[in-house]
Amino acid sequence: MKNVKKYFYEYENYEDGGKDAATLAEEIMNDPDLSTIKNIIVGCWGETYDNSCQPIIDMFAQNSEKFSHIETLFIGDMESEECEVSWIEQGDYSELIKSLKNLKHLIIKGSNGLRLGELNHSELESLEIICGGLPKSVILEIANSNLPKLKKLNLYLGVENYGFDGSIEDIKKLIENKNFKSLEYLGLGDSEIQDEIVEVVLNSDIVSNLKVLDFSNGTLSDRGAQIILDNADKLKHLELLDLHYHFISDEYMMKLKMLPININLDEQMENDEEYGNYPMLTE
Amino acid sequence: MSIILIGQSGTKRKDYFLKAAEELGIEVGFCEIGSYPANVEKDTIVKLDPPQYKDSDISNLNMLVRGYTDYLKDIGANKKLTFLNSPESIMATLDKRKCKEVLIKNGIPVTPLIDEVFPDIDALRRYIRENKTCNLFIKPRYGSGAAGIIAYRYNLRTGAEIVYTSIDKAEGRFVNTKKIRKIDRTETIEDMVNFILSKHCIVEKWIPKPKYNNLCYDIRVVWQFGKIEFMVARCSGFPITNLHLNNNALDINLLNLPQTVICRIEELCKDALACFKGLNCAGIDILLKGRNLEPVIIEMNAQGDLIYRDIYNENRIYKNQLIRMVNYGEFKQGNTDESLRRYY
Repeated sequence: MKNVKKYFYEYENYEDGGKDAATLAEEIMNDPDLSTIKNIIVGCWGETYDNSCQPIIDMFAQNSEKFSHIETLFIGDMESEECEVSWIEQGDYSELIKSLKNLKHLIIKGSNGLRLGELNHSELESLEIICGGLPKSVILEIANSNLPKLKKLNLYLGVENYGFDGSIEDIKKLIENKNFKSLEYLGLGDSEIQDEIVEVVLNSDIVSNLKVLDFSNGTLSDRGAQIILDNADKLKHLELLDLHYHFISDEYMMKLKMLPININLDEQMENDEEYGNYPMLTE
Repeated sequence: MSIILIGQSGTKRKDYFLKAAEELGIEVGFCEIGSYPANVEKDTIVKLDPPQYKDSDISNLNMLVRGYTDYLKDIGANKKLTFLNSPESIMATLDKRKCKEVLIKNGIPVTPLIDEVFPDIDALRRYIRENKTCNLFIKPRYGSGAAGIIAYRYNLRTGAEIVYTSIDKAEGRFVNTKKIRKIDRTETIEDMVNFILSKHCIVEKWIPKPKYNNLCYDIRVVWQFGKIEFMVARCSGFPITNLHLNNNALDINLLNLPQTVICRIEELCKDALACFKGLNCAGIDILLKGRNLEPVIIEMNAQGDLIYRDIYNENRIYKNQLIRMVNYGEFKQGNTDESLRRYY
């Protein structure tokens, strides 16, 4: 990515309570390089489990003229050394989405306190949410969105313990959104009900226009693999079926490899008899 | 002059040290830990290896370490012997609290030690809430490696807790495993943390490690005879990076560390070794802190010289130890006393 800048704090910046989201928002606002930057990444803004990024989000929304040239916004780019993903305190993006009319790519990490509001945006081409558990409320906001240029939608659904309180019915509503006219990449992964997700997606109309279908990082098992085998005819046009990080047996992996579909089957996980199978990102 | 390795049969340490000796044509006698070399010649030089505990029960760790340190005291009393690393220096680094206190006293930058005793997890939680220090390592005071280490995290906002550890509970006993796992169930965490706190342990601040390809890393330096002998990055998806836990060892050159950082690491190791009398070789775990990659010592281990990447390749750590041991006169005079600036 060109013209990209990441704003973040190191541990020593905030360990004594000196820096937080409000100070980072100030620093972004006053960066003299701002006019040359098209892609902004916001990393750790201090004690991110105790200190929401709302001041940063508000700063973007309230100064939209200054950020009108920004194409990509990634808020929450941090590793678990800095904060558990499920502990990142996110915020309400409704005003930001209304204000940054030229934004093309929005990536959000963390789902605590996350709200997207009314998702009407004529230019947004990709939306990704990386989290340990996506709330039902956010799934429904996306289900009701109007994002006519959206090409890529990638959602980590996560687990109930870390905020996923939705059901398969909510996923159904999401993929029945008729406004996804440009969608080429659909990612519904990192789920503890990955087999059911596969089933509902493959039985919907959304698949026919896609180029990439991503069910990676979840607890996909032989059951999900069988559903894929049963619906293989619907998937032949895909450029990629991404299933990496899965719990499919050797036998079913062989069957999938025989299909005339480009499938990523990397990262076969061992079934955890003791604690049960977990998606890749849950903490 | 003769060389004796006091170690343990069936370990890589013994096999590769003797392999190095064979390749160099140096004769080395071997004696099992716990027994004493018989008919010691004048000018005998001894390398002391650590025992490899077969018992994974953490309850027994203190007892096992005590047994070993008693043995070190006994063997150290034999004035006929000279040591690659003196038993006193080995004991001083086996005691993580003492080791850290010596380093702090001498102004060596270390990962911060919390100077409190926590009788149980409630006391720990109180401390965290009062001091807003939410990320901690809890480590057994004695021992090395990842045995019994807990990386503990407390969420001030919600009270949620997460730990990363290689400890597991099997048949009612806390045991070490080779796998790090994450635990978020409060009852399990309370049970485990209360158990570790009931043993001798130290608590340190958990400083975030730098990242390489989405894995966090720290650095293991093997320092011997006044220079860096080997350096390897230890990468992990978890906060505990110990190499014996199936973590990835990474060629240090891939990190492209600036020369200034390497120089600061060298200075740090030199200063740290100078704090311990009779210490010529040590494994030093180093964290590179913040944007400036400021090196600070996580731990030091007088017996931290086993590096798989080395023994399976050049085996130069052990070979260079042997060369220095053969050159006994230089060894005895050159590095054990005169070059030491500070003693504990």
